[in-house]
Amino acid sequence: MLHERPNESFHWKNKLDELDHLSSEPVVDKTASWERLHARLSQKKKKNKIFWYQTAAACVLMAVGISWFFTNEKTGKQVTDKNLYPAQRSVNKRSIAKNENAKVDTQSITIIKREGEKAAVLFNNKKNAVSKVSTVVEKNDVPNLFPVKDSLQEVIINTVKSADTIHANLITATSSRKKLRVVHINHLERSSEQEIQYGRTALPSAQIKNFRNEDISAFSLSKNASDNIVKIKLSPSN
Amino acid sequence: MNIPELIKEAKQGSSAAQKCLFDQLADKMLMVCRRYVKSPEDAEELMLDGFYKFFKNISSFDYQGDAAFYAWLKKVMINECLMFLRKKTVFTIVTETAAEELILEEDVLDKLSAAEIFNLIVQLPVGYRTIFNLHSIEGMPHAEIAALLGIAEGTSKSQLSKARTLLQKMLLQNKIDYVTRKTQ
Repeated sequence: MLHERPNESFHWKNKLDELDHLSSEPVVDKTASWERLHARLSQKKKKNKIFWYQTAAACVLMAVGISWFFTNEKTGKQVTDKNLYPAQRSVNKRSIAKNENAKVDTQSITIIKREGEKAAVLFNNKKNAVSKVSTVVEKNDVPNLFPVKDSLQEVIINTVKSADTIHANLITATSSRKKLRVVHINHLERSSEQEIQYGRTALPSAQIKNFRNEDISAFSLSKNASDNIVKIKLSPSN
Repeated sequence: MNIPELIKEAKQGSSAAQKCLFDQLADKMLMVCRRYVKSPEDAEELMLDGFYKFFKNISSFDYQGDAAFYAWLKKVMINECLMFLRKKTVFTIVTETAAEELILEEDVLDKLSAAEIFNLIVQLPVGYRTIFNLHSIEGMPHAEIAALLGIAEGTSKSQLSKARTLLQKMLLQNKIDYVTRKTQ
């Protein structure tokens, strides 16, 4: 049988393999065939290119959309805070205006003196745009109001003794890795910021530090200042 | 330029190398397709489909000699033809029966020209032709053919034996100088 004698069928199989055209039939136009094939191959390449362009465009759109979404959300929150605390809004604007040339760190806290021993503390956290306003009445209340956490850097004004002196006791807790910059800006006289640096080695983690008036006596503030705006910046020491 | 160099350049996307390969192999591959598909137009289309897949997957091909390359390309073409035939043809034409022990004199085939053998094969009905091609020419076992075409192994055997009978009859009916060539 045919399949039982492979050696003998070798010749006619080879003959078939060698056959590349039939003399009785017209020769196929290979050029035309190649043109068709080449067109198909090129079309595929174009489709691939289009796919990558579309993917890139979609990625760009998504990135823009996400950034817009978060920007919008941040603005919305700020507007809400401003509406809630109109008194602080003007002060805040002034401090920003005066400080616009200074480098702004990731966290800043504006402290606004109010009446008597009460102080309003406005936290501006630039990272998540959260503003927190609280009133500190007593020194003992401070830790309760602003519990010290490793991850959260807090600077709190404790008491402001009077309107015509610069006495401002600050209690701060900061990580030892951070450099603490205390900037006292008085909107009446000082247009540029000055700073006292604590931190690096002086403040261990979560240590409460009292800043007394001598610490900030370097500031020449007007006695007529109605508001003491203390801007405290926390930035990495490295 | 020889085939390994052409393949190397075609892998890098060179259209010129692809064209050279096509020019060298198109005729033979067309004849392979025509052994499975009777219509010249369909065969040409399948040959182009085969080359399209070949160039698309050429990056995964490792050249190990001309014979291996030719066998691989032929396999691509045969697969294209079988896919085409599966769409159009139901191969379970014949009920499962024991293969008849019919003898096709191979000596006669040896004495025929390639074109004559080709013309005989393409005159077979599609089921017979496919199985004859796969078994007697490509050397595929019945089990593999059965799996490939989705038929029973016995069906493959019986189709093959009927194909042989028919070929023998055609040799006689077409008055090919059967007896003369046999005795030569």
